[in-house]
Amino acid sequence: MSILEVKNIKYKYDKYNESSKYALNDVSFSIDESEFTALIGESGSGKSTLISHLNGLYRADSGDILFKGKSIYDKDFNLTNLRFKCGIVFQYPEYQLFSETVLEDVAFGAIKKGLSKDEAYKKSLEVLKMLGIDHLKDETPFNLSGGEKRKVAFAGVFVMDPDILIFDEPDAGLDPVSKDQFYKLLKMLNQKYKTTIIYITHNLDDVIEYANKVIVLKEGTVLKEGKPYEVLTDKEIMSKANLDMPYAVEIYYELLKLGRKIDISKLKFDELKETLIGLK
Amino acid sequence: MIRDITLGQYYKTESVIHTLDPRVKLMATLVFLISLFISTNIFAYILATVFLLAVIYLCNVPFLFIIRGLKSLLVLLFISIIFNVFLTPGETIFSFGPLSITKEGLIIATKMAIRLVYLVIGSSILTLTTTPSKLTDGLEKGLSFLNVFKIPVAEIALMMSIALRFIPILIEEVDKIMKAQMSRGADFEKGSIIEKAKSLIPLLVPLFVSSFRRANDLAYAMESRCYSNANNRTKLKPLKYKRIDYITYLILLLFIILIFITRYIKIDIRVF
Repeated sequence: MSILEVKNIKYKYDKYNESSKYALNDVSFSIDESEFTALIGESGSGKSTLISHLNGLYRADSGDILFKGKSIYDKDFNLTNLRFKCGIVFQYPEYQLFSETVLEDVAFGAIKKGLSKDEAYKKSLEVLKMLGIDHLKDETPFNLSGGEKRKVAFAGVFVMDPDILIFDEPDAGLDPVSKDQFYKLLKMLNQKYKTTIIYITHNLDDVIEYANKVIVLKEGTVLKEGKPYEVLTDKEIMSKANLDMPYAVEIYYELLKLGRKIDISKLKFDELKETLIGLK
Repeated sequence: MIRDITLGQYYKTESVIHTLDPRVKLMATLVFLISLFISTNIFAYILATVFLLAVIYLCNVPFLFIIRGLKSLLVLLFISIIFNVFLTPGETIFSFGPLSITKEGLIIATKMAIRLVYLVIGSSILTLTTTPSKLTDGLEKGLSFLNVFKIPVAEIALMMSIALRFIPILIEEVDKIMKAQMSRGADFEKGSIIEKAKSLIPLLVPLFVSSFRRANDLAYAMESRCYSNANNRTKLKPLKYKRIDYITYLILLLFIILIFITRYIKIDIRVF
């Protein structure tokens, strides 16, 4: 069942200028429950604008967005509630951190959601533990490293128990090890707790590895959506969207040139490794 | 909401006003502001309105875009009108308990409202039609005579241009921070005044942090590119007056003379 449905939304920033471009032009797609979706596209293709629509921060000029079948633009729809259920972690964690200690900061959303201070702090500590940063709970968020700040920002959203987690370039500024840990954590949340995940990324190798759906945006329109191996192996779409193919896809095409056809749906690292080892 | 502030923003388009020398535009803004404050009767206000409308028409910036900047002024405007209408002594027109509206109060309130609105529109047009770098050049050259008095004009101009350029950046940043906090359930509009003030903390702290970081980054970037105002810097595109600039100066002169003349026009029905 689809948890989120975007129907023909259009949005432009400069509403006073007739000739200005639409940042989103007739965008439609739907996200099923517990899907792990990657939003890809070059800079300026409308990815960040799109995710700001998903929890009602921006209101589309036309079109509709349905959350669990209900239009978020209905008069009696509770937008604050939607924001708790549809948590967005933005690109720059600095924009979110403000409290004196990490624990206080993380608890903010939980308190706003209606939890008592004690409950919120308890829950925040659990989340910090899960992310492996509970030793930072009494630090000021401003003295942390970039990666730590990012984790704190994520904890601040995750503490609200969202049904959908949305990330704007979660891997920017993370070192390779933290990045892998982070994606594995997302995968775990996705599989164990059935959390729906939508994330913006430029790292297509990881898309193959973790996502089970990809949406390609170009100049505010959806070029293609589908399973990673369907979308990322589509040469025409990839060149139209101005994107490089991930390594696994390049290997697939190189092998194809040599007359070796491998299973296109098995491009994840381990799968590809098995296949390559098995080749004679 | 926050994006409605147009003060300090540049609007890219082609128009006569955009091509004018920044010194002319600075002078025009100054003359216009002075004219607003020396205007005493309705003729002067009509003249100022005509002047402003002509500039708005010529500058090719959508009218709604310019007006948008006024939204944030509404509160100030409202307060100033209320105070002037009720607190000016004079001939009572209408009284309501201890409060009374006077003829003088109405006149002053109207004048103040017009002045405020025109002031904001006038100065918005300056920044909407002039890029920050041109504005700095204009200020630097226009005020260069102050160098004689050992006033560091170039530095002051640079500081002003940095401050101006930071306004839209800050506005955008506030917008992003608000989005991030609203995503965590922050509400900036509900509640009593104290609650509203409290709800601003999640907005102000990140804003200050990022402003300091930005200022620091900018200072480092300038230093690593050996920026210095010490030796008379030359310009890539030195400012040079063109025919249209001289014509504009003439129009300005005419405008201010006409405004002065209106001071001596006596009208029978003294509305203003």
